[in-house]
Amino acid sequence: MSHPVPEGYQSIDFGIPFLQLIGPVYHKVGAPVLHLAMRIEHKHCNALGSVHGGLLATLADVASVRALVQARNNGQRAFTISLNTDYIGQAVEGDWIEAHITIKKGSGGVAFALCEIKVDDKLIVVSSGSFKFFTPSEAS
Amino acid sequence: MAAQPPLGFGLLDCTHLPFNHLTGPIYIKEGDSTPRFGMFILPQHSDAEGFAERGVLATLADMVAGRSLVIASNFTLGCFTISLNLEFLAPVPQGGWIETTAKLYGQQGNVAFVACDISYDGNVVMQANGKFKQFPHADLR
Repeated sequence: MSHPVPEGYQSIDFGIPFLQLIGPVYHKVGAPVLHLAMRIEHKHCNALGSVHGGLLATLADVASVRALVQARNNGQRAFTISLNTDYIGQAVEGDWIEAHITIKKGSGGVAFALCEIKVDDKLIVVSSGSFKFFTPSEAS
Repeated sequence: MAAQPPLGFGLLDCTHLPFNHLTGPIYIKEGDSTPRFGMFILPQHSDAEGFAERGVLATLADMVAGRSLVIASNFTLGCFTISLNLEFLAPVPQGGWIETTAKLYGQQGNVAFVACDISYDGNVVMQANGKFKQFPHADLR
């Protein structure tokens, strides 16, 4: 493998088929707030050779939802109501991207989170989203 | 036998669009003033609850908006996404056929403002609004 996984990261499987399709997805072991990361491969790119906006939106979405669910830690899950994403910079094949989550409001029925995706110290995406919590039995 | 898209839709060639190739297949219906795009929500597009993962819809909207701008420029302009704002109104079940078409609703210099709502079974399930920066590019067919 030409690009090793940085020390302290392990692959993570949320049981989400779409993430299994586009992954692998990694997380930083022991992070106080769930911290996801990916290695950009050719399959993640657009026609211009940089990472596709849809991949970045997917990572921002999943990282936000999963950080909120992990922080609440009561068996509830969450789905996205809205996600506003600004694309500030680019990433290319071989880059290691990390999603840094800031929970703005984790309590109540609707939670809010910010996500910053970076390549090293370079900011490439900022997103803000709102997310609705539910108990799994209610959804079935 | 795999489900067939509605009449008039053909497979979109995503050879040069690796992420859309991975997350497709995507279909296109041309001939109208603005092309229409669609896809089936297949098992690999699902979230943990069995509905379409939000990222699938985001990816489709982003591609359709950008691709529609490229087509509208007769393949003389490329573009990249500056921002994409998404509102998720309803879930899409596995097997569902979703459709969308891009609408250019504004232009400020080389920045295009595009709406790209996705519908399922006659209802809008995701509203998308994006800003896209355009630039000369001759090789995006």
